[in-house]
Amino acid sequence: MPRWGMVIDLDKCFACQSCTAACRMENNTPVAGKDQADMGRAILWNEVLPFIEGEYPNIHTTMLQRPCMHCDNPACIKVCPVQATYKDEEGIVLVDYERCIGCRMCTVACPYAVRYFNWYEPEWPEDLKVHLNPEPEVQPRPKGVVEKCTFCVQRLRKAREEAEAAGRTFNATDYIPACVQTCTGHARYFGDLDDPHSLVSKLAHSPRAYRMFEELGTQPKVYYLKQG
Amino acid sequence: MDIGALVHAFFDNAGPGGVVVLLVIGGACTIYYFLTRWIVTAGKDKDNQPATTPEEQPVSMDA
Amino acid sequence: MEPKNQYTQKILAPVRRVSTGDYLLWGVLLALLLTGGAAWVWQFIEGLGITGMNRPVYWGVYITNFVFFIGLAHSGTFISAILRIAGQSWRAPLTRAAEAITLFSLPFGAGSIIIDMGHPERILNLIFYGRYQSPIMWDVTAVGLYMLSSIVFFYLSLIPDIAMCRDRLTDVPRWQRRMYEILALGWNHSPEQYHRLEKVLDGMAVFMTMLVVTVHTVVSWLFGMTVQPGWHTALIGPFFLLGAILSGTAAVVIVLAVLRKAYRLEKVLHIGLFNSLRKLLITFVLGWFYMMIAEHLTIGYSSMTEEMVVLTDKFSGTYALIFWGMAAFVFGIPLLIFIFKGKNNVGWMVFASVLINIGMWMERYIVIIPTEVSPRMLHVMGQGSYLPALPEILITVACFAGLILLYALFTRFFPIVPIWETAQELPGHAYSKETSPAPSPAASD
Repeated sequence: MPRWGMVIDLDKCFACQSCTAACRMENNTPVAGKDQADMGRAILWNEVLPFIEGEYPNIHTTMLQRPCMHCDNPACIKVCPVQATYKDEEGIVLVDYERCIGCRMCTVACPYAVRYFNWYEPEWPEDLKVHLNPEPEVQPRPKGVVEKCTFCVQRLRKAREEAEAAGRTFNATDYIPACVQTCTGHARYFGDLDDPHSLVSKLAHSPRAYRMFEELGTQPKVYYLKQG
Repeated sequence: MDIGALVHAFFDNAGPGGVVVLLVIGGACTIYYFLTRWIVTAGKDKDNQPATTPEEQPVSMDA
Repeated sequence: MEPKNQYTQKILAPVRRVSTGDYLLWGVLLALLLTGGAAWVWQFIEGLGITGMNRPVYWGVYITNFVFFIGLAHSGTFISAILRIAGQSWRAPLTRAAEAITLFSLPFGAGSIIIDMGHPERILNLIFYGRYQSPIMWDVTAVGLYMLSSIVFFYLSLIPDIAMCRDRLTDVPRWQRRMYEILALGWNHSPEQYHRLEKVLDGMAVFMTMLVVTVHTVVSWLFGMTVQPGWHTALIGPFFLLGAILSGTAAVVIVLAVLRKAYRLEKVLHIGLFNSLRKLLITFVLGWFYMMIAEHLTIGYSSMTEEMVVLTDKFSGTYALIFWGMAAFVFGIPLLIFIFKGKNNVGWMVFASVLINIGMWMERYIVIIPTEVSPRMLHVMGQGSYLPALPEILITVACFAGLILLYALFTRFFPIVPIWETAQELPGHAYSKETSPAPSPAASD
């Protein structure tokens, strides 16, 4: 079974935020509006976060793209009392929106803060509403449940279906999450970490590769290539 | 019989936990019910009869 | 036939009359409770967005209340169960009053969790899909068992007194007499019944003691089992446990003082009880202080980055006022009061105990919120913030009102001091082990 992972090259990212925008259009994340966003309730499955070190004029800036880490030993799954969040056989961490009871233990357990909660019923302005993605996996979530990045798992299903329909075998490279596909600087890579010949596998072993909070033992599957 | 796998399966899957809760609470309810009954029915059918008034005393049949 | 207690009339007196003042009190409390209920309905319809919670502060006042009320509940078990096993017979007049706190605060503790859920109607998922790896499931088991056992323990201890109400209170409404008849389960004060009751209560006391330790430790593990700075510490179990016993015992002091005044029970709830509780409270306050030192010194000394962010936030940052206020309310001021002013003085004892409970609520808040406000991703996310909104305040007030309402109602229908446990003589040859010592002449008020 493939073990899906992502590599993000921080040298190539210039924080255009196309990934964030593409993710929102692909996955139907609701529009929070200014007041809610100011309160910290915006739902952004993928976020681009600035990390500024040092005092002016000796500043070093990193733009950190942060999707869900899809950890192999996830802190969120451990604490879910009803297994509403689970890891499928290919290593993707998902949420069952029908089962989630909204206790938010997973949101406080995740050290990467990748999980979001629907504080209200989701809403979109009319002109965005017509562009909602019709795929069943990303139907608008109801209020009171947790959601997060799924590595665009609907695209995995579609890629497999298309391969079958075309009568060819499914290739790992057929499956590309929206953020990876859209990235302007070609900074993101995606593929099967267990395939020694895949690009992500090779990059993950690069001397520039590191993962966030590795010391926590969560074994995240999103690798970063150090800047500089 | 891989005990480790069994234990892991118990903790990791949805369902068994609910069974544990029901067993614990249900078991406790049952125990408490029988304990209460045991306490309250103490000496019911033994010799601790409440004192009877003269009217309640059995009337002698020979006279 | 019934237990011989010189104070039976005095203890039963409050049960005989319900005054206009009572109706007024119950009315006000009920109004507060219903207001909170309305706020919850509004929240259920609109979503949890009407609260002040946000990202990253996903848990706020509701979870604070959850921990606080479960902590309060430990008062009863401590007095009835733990002191019982320790053979402290002076506790006898207090047991029911303390256990009533347990009984009536547990529903609001457990209720606070349900109020906090995004989908409370899916609560049965915990049974259908319960996953035992989650600390929440440990909580459900422990708190559920604790609630059930507290009800049973409370009820069993109440039966002999219900029987006395049934036999003596002939001038109460018919429905009330019927209630006593049903609930007395045919109790006829036989020595064998008392013998068995004592045995079961002794056994349950041991079990409840184990439960007390388990319950609040498991509650703390909701936080302790995550990797978040400020939460992930092995000390969190004992820390929460001691805090619970401290706030619970302080609550008992408050309740006792109110009952004394309201129902003129000065002879039965004598000043000696307050003096004994005073000694316990000094011990617990010092113990709590020890835990605080151990926890914060360990964190501060090792200077781990993410831990220091949370620590400095509490010591000198956004939460400094609440943190040091808590230290003063829980430790500083009460300790001074207990040592210098508390002996033989109910007023000062109550003041200190109220401070302790306010401080302990703040303590739960301080444990929960600052860690969430400074998550590990702080360096890129920036610090969070949290301000409780109106629904949270209304619901918190409603929880306290509900607790007081249930308590006040109870005291008007059942004797709040256990007549049989404070009796000078129990039926048959069994002398009560639990006779309270006669109040010393020096301790009159």
